[in-house]
Amino acid sequence: MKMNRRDFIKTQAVAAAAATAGISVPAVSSAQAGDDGIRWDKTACRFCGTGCSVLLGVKDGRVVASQGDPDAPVNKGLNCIKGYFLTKIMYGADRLTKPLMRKKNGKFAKDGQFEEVSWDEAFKLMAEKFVAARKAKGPKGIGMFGSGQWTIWEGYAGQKLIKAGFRSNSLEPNARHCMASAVGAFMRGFGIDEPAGCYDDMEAGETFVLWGSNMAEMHPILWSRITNTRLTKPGAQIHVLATFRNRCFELADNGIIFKPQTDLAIANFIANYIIEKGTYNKEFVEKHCHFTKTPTDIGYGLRANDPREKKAKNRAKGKLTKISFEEYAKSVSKYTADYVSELSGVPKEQLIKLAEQYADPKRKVASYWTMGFNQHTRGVWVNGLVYNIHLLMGKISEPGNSPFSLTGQPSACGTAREVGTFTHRLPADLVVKKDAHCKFAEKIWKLPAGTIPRANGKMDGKPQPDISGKPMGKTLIHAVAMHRALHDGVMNCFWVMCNNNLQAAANFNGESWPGWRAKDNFIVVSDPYPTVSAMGADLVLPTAMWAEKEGAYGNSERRTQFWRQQVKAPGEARSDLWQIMEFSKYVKVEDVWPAELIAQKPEYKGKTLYDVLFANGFVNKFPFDGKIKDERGNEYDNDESAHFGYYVQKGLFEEYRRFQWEGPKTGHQQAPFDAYHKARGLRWPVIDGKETLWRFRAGYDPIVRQVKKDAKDGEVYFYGKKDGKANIIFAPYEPAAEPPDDEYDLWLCTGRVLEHWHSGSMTRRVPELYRAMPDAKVYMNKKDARKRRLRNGSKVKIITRRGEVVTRVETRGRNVPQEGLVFIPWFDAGRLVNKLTLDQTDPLSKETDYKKCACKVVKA
Amino acid sequence: MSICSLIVYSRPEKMEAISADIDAREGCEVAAAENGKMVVLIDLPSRDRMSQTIMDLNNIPGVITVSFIYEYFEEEEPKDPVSEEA
Repeated sequence: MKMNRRDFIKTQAVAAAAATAGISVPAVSSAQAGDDGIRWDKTACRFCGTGCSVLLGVKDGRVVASQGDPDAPVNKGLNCIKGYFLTKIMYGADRLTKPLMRKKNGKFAKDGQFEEVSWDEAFKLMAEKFVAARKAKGPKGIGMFGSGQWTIWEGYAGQKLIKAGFRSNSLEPNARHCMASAVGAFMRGFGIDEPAGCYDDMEAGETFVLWGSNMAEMHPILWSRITNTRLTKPGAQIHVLATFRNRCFELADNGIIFKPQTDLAIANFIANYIIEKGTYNKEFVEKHCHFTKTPTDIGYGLRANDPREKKAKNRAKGKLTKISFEEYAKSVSKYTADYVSELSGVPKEQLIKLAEQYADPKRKVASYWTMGFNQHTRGVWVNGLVYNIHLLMGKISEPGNSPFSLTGQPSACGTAREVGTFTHRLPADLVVKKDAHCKFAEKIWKLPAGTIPRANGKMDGKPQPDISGKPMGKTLIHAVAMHRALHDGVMNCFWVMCNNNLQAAANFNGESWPGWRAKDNFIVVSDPYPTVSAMGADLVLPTAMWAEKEGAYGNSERRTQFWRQQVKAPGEARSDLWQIMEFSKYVKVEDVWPAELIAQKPEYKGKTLYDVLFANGFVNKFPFDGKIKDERGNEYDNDESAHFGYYVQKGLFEEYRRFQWEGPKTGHQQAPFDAYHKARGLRWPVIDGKETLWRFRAGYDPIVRQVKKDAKDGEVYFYGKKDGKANIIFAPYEPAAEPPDDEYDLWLCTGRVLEHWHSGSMTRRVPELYRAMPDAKVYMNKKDARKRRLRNGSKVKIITRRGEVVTRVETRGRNVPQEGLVFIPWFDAGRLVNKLTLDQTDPLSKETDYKKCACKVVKA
Repeated sequence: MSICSLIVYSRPEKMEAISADIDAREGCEVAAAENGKMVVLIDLPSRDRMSQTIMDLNNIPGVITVSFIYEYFEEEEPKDPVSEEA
C-alpha cells in the first residue's frame, strides 16, 4: 500500500495517542521520525507543580517543535493545553531586552520615565540604594521577593546573597502565597516537609478525594491520570469538595458544595464518624501518633490595630498541647452529621458517603488539595485535619493511601521549600531560629560564625553586631508583612524576581501600590515581560527565562528534574542566576558587614560579596570547557558558566547538597548533579542512586532503617519527629475574617482557569490562549444574577471595602457558584482582582486567604 | 498544515454522543474509542484553526478532560505552497 506523507503523519499521530491511552488500533505501523536536523532534548514544563517533562526540538537556535515526553513517568507523553503552547511563552512580542530605569534629566528619578540603561549602570544604582537602606534601617531595610519558579540554583544563590551577604532574613518566595500552609502542617504533623506519597498513588488508589482543588483545570495531566483510573478500575470513586461547581464535578461520584470555611467542620465530622464507628486503626494510632490540640481564636493575620486582631485571645499562637485520645474524641464529638450538615449546607447523605470511604479500613483513599486549603486563614489547621483522618485510619505512606498537597508552581517544592527561600528557613528544613542550624550553614558557606541573622538577632544569647550600629532585633518578615513594611517606610529596597507580586498580592489599593510608589522606596523587578509589577517598579531587569538557561525544578511528588539551556535569550536579557551573582560583585563586605565580623576572617577584607559567596573555592571548583555535552553527543550553551568561567549550576547544586548529606536533618538527600541530566527526574530521598516513592515506611524508604535499625518491613516510622510519632492535632471550626453582611452580601472567591497560568504574564502572550480566555469574568449563580436584575454578559462592578473592579457576568460558564458566592480568576492584568481582596493571612503560616472576603455586585 | 492527536475523556455512557459530535466537526475524526477514552485525530490547514478546535472540544458538555499527544505542523508559506501529496 502506498502511503502519502500526510497519511503517514496521521498514522503516527494515532499510534502515539492509542498507545498512551492503552487502546489498540488495527494496522498501525510504528514509524520513527527521520533525521531532520532537529536537536531533541528534555525540559521540565514552566507552568504548574505537576512537573511534566516536555521534549523540545531546536533547529537554528530556535524552538521549532515540542511534545509531551513519552519516557516521562509523570505525564507519559501527555500534554495539557498550556503545555501544548508552552514554547510560545518565550516569543511574546514585548520581551524585555534591556534594563530600564526611571529617569529625569539623565538621572534616576522615582517620578521619571523608563529609559534604557546598561547593566553596569543598573547594578551601580542598585548597590548604592541597597547598601544605604541596609545601613540606615537594619536587616529589614531591604528585601527580596523570589519565586517557586526560580530554578533550584537561583533560589540557593538568592538565599546566599540575602541571608549571608546582606545579613538579612528579608527573603521570601511568592510560594508564601501558595504553599506556606502546607509546609506549616507538614512541620507540625511530621517534623519534615513534603508528602509521604507520590503520583503512583493515582493508579494504586481506589477513592480519590479533592478538597479545594480544581484539578481538572489546574493540574490537567494529574486529572487525566485519575480520570483514567476512575474509568478503568472497577469500583473506583471520585469525591469532590468545592465552594462552586467546577469541571471536576463532571466525573464526581460525590460532588459536594459546602459553604466557605466549613471544610474545617467537615473534616472534623469525618474524624468523629470514624471514631464513632470504631474502625480507626488502634494499633497504628498507639504506635505512631500523639494526640494534641492547637490554641484557638488566633486572629486573621491582619495589622495589629484591626479590631479583629485586638479581639483575638491567642493571636498567632500555635504551640501544641498534648491531650489523650479520649479528649480528642470528645473534641470532635460535637461535629455530628446533623450539626455539620446545617453549618456547611451539605446534605447528610453526601457527608456520610464521603466519610464511609475514609472509615472503611479496606478502602484505599488518596486526598488531594491545593489553594482551597492553603489560601485559608486556618490553612495549617485544615491541612492538619485531613492528616488526622488519614492517621486515625493508618492510611498513609503506602500505595493508594495518600494525603497529598499539590503545588501550583513548578518548583514551589524544589526551590522555595527545599532550598528554604523563606524568611525563617535555610536549606533542607533548617531554620534561622536555631543557632546550631545557622552555625552549620556558616560552616558550609565558609563564613564567620554569626554572619546569618538569627530570628531573634542573638547568637549564643548575645546580640549579633550589625552594620547599622543598632541591635538587629527580630529579623523575620513574611511576604504580606513586607508590603506593609514598604508602606510604613520600614523597608526601602525591594527586589522582586521571577514573579508578579504587584498583581498577586492582596489589597493592592491599601498596601501594595502605596508601598511600591512611596517616594523613598526603590523597587527592582526582574522579568521577561513588562508585567504590572515591572510597570510599578523603578528599575526593570530583563530576564532570560526557562529554556534560555540551564535549570532544575522540584515538583509536588519530590521529583527533581534538570534541563539544559536550549536557546539563547533575546538581546541583553540575563537569567536570574546571572543577575544575582553579577550584582554581588557590586557590593563589598565592608558595605554590609560590621568590623567585628570581618575581624573573624581577615582574609575577606576588601572582598566583594561575589568573592565570598560564589568564588569561595567550592562553588567555582567545577570546570567548564565552553560547551555542555549530552550522552548522545549534542552540544548546548551555558551562558552563566561561560560568563563566570566555571560550571556555575553544578557548583551551586553540589554545595547545596552538602546540607542534605552532612546537615543535622536527614531525609532530604539528593543524587549528584550529573545523575539528574540523565534521569527523567528522581524523587528524594535518593539513597545509593535509588529514589523513594513512599516515605516513612521500612521497605519503601531507606531512611527508616538508618534511624531505626530494627524496623521490620512495612513498619512506619515518622523520623521527622524525634520519637518517630506524628501529631494528630485537634482544631475546631472558626468563622472567616470577613463573612458577607447586609451591605456586602456575597462571598468573593478568586482563583484560576485552565487557559492561564497564575497572573497570565506568560499565557496571555500566547495568542491562542489569550483568544480562548481574553478577560476575567465573574462567575455567578443564576438566582443571584436574577435578584440583581443581571443576565449573562451584563457589565457589573464588583465592590469590596477596599476597591472595585468592572467586568462582565458569566452565569453559564464552566464554573457554577453556589448561591451567595461569586468567583473571579485573577490572571487579567486589565482587571486587578487584588484591588478587592483582604490582606488576611493564616496567622500560623502567614499565607494569604484569597478565597474568602465579602463583596457586592452591581450593574455598571 | 497541522495534524494533531488527542485523547478525549468522557463518562462511558456519554461517549457515543460525544464521539458523534466530534466526528461531525471539520477536520476531526475519532480513530478509536473504548471505555470513555477517545483517540481523536485532527487535520486542519493552520495551527490557529487547530487551537480553536481543541478549545472547542474541551468545552463540549460531558468532556472530562483533553490531553495532547502528538502534533506535526508546518507554517504556511503563501507564495510557494508546498504540495502536500508528496
